[in-house]
Amino acid sequence: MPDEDVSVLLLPCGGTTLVVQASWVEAIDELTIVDGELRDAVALFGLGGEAALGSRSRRAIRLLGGVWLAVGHEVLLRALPASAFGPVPAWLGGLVDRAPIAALVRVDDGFAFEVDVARVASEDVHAWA
Amino acid sequence: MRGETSTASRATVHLLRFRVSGAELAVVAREIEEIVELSVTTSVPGVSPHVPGLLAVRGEPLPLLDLAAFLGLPAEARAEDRDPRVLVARVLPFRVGVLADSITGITGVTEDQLAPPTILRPELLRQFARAELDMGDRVVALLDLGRLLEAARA
Repeated sequence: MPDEDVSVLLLPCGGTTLVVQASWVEAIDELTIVDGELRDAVALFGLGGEAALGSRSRRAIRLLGGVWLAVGHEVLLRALPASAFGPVPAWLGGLVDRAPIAALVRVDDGFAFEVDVARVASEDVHAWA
Repeated sequence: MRGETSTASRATVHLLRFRVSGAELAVVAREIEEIVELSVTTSVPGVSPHVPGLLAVRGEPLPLLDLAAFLGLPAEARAEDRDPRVLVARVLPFRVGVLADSITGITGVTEDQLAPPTILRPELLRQFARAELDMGDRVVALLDLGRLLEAARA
C-alpha cells in the first residue's frame, strides 16, 4: 500500500517544532494584526516563554473554526509521508494529557509534535500550569 | 525447601554497571535491549529537566532519562573524560533511554552477594535501589528500574 504524503506546516517555536496539517489551516498572518479568538502556543505547550522565540516578529495561523494560534516567526510548508506520524511514547504519556498534542511526527533526523487542532479550538483548553 | 533456597541464592544474575555523576550504578542486564551512542536529540516541550529529549534510534523515538538530574547526583562530579552512552531500557510498558557517563562492565552475582541498600547517598538513590553490591573498594547501587521509570515518567 503506498505511503501517501500529507501537506503540513512546520512551526519551529521555542526550541521545538510543532506540526499542523495544512488542511486544518485557513490563514497565516502577522500576529500583531490578527483579530479574533487567539491562543498562544508558548502557553499551551509550555515552550519556555517569549525569550525562547527570539526577537523576530511572530506569526499566527487561523485554524478551521476560526481560532488563531500564535506561533513563532517561521512557518514552513512540507509534505510528509503518512507513516511519519506515530504515537507519543508511553513514558511521555502525561505530556499528551497536559498539552494539546495529537501525534509525534518524524521529521528529518528528529521529531516534531502534531498540534491537536480540536483541543486547541475547544474552550476548555488551558494554558500550561 | 532449604535446598531450593540455597540453589536460588546461587543462581547468577548479570548486572550491567555504569557511571553517572561519579556514582557507580547497576541494572539487571536483561532489562537493557542495547547500548547506543548519544547523538542529536529533540527537545520535548514542558517536561522536567530529567527528560532531556527524544533520541531517534533507527528512526524510532526513544525518550531519554537523565538519572543525575532525577536522583539529584552532583553535576560537577561528571568526569571530563566521560564517554556518554544510552542504555535502551525496556521495562514494560516503557522503553526509555537511560543516560550514562560511561559503561564500567558486566558482573555476574549471586543473590547472597547483594545486600539491602543502606549506605547509599543521596537519599533518592537509596529509595530507587533494589540492593547494593560491595565491590571491595566501592559500593554499587543496583537500581529497581521498573519503579524508577514509573516514578520518573513525564
